[in-house]
Amino acid sequence: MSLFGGVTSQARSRNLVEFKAGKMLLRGTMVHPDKRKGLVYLYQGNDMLMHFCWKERSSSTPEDDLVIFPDEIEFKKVTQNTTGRVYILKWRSNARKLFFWMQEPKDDKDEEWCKKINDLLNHPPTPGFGDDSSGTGGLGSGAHPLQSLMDRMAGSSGAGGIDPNDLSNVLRGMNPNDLASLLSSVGSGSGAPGLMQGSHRGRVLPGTSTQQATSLLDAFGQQTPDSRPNTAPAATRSTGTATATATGGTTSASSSSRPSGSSSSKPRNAGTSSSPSTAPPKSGTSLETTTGGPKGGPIKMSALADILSNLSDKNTTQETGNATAAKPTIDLYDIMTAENLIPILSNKDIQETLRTHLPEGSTISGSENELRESIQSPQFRQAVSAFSVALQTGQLGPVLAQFGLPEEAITAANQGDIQAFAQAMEKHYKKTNEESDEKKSSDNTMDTS
Amino acid sequence: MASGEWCLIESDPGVFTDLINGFEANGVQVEEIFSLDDDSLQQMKPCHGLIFLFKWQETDASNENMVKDSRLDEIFFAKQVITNACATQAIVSVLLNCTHEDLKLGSTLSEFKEFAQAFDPQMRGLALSNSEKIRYVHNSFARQQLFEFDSRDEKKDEDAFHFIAYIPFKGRLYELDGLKEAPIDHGAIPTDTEWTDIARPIVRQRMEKYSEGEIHFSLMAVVSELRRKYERQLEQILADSALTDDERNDKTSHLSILIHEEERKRESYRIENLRRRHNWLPFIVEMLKAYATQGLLVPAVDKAVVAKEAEKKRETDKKRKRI
Repeated sequence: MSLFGGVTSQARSRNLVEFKAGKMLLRGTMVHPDKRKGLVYLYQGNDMLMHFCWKERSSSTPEDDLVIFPDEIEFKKVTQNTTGRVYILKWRSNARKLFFWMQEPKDDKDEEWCKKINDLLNHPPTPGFGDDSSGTGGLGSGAHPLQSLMDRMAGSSGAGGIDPNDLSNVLRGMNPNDLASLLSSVGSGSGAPGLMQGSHRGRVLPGTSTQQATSLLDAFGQQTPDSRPNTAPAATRSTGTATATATGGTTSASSSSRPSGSSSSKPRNAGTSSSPSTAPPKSGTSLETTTGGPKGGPIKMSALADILSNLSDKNTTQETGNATAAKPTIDLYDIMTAENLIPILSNKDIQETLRTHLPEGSTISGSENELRESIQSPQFRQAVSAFSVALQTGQLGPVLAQFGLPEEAITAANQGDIQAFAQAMEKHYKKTNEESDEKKSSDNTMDTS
Repeated sequence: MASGEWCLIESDPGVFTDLINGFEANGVQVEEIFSLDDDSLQQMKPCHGLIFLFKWQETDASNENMVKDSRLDEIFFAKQVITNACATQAIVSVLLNCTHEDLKLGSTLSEFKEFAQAFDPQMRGLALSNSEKIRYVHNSFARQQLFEFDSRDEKKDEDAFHFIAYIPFKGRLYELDGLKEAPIDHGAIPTDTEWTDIARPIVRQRMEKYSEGEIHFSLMAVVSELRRKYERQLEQILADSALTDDERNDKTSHLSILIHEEERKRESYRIENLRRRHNWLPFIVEMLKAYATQGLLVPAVDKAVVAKEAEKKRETDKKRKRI
């Protein structure tokens, strides 16, 4: 599910988990092991979607590449067959299933991998949160969607440039969302002036740089597949922010949660007005140094700008429509990522409180692990989903009032406005927390509300 | 929920096993079957019934081999009256037709059987749907119903599941489909033959038919309690003087692993049940407070909104591409 049909195996993050395993084939009603030596692996595409893949070890491309959404599957050991190490990938809402048998010589990590698969598929890593292992300069990642494009357009040898018509066809064929991310990554912290004008409304993108754009365009003609730097899923961040800008949603999203500082030229900061990117020259340089192929005929910058701005205008129109559409219902379970749980579960007080609300009889060790397992259980997940729907349809006001939540939060709950609810909660509880931390100071400037 | 209502329950071997125990029946459990080959079913012996679940609301129209004679009085067959109840109905059908010594039916089901035995299939179906005790146990496995509505799409998927049971009864194989008028007779089971061997081609035919139509299905088996079986085998091995020490150790350690696995299964079913029935509202509220206290709530919610919008677009595109 990459932007361009999922061909390039190098131009995305490295595998989040992988282990040697074979497939099992269903013939009629019987399951037989496929004797080929294979590899099961997970990766997260640039579109944030999780891919479960199987490939023959001798091959470079996967034979199976499945996009899996959270809570869609369960991966577990088949206990009926105790002689082999057989695992099943089972879909929850239908009876679809796939079987695998472990081919790792030792079984000591089987359980760990099994757990990782479940964790990662049901709680995909949120991009931009430190899982970017790319050590290259910013544009390495930022050029990622463009690299795939270059692959396709330039062919395996990298010979020849790109016919502007081809490029515009490809870009036109992209869905608006991917295009928005492409545009924002082009403008990652920097970009050709004028390129970004159409794709954001009411948001100012960080300063642009001609140098960046020029080097990008050079790269169109120069890039070869081999010289591609190892990229990371950071590019996925730009998808989210581009959409945020396009739909005119709350701007607080991108600016407050992004880790600031390091590698600011990476596209994870794309569209973040509060952390303007630096070092465009460096990124430009890194791209140039990684090229080595024959020079084709680079597209003139003006041609590219024209094409992109034409498309982005079209994009704008499409996104205008979306901006007025109702906000989608979110599932609060999505915010309970492994990441977010760390500060929560490591806090002893919070742990204590939460533990008292666990089902009786389920606490074995009463450990943090037990809390985590409960939170990750399908039953809890389902409860949170139901809660989320109820909250967003304005039904939870009276119920939540009984929990003594702040008035503003109750008002928001009555209106089904989850973002206002979140804000009201933080306004009350975060302040309380800080005030209790601030034992001595009564400085009003500490008020963050 | 209003009285008389049957809730949706998960199609999960753990749920079904606990459901049976909830009816106070003992000695059997439900296992999911992935393969009809000899080995799998051999491991599961003795098997008291096969339940075929598939995601299809209609049943095939054939009325071949429908039982029309006095056997109708003996075989417990009930017409499906309530969609949500069909899992329980399939399980109860298997249990009420089982005469194996391993199964202890318990008072709830025995009473029900006595009560409904004299009725025709339609009345039996009604009797089942009106059985307060059975419905109560069934509903205790319902998914969390914190609130009155549940508009999630998954529910619609589950609605469409249909269950068909295959049972051996007095030397013949029968198919019990609640959407049909009567049991279907699939013929005699030759002596010294496992009934599952006879059922296999028939079930396989169904599976192939559904595979072709890309209709998803599952197969569950109602089998004698595995742990008890393994413990019995363990005793036999320990008492068997013909075995060498090595052989004995091998077998006992293998069985110990299996027994341990069963214990682990039961424990996880137990915990799943606890979690299923628990009112998570206070916990959720505390978590949200905790997030708010740490200043994580607003950014996470905002981000989720943004991601959802992106995801929706992507899904629409994905579907568009498929067409």
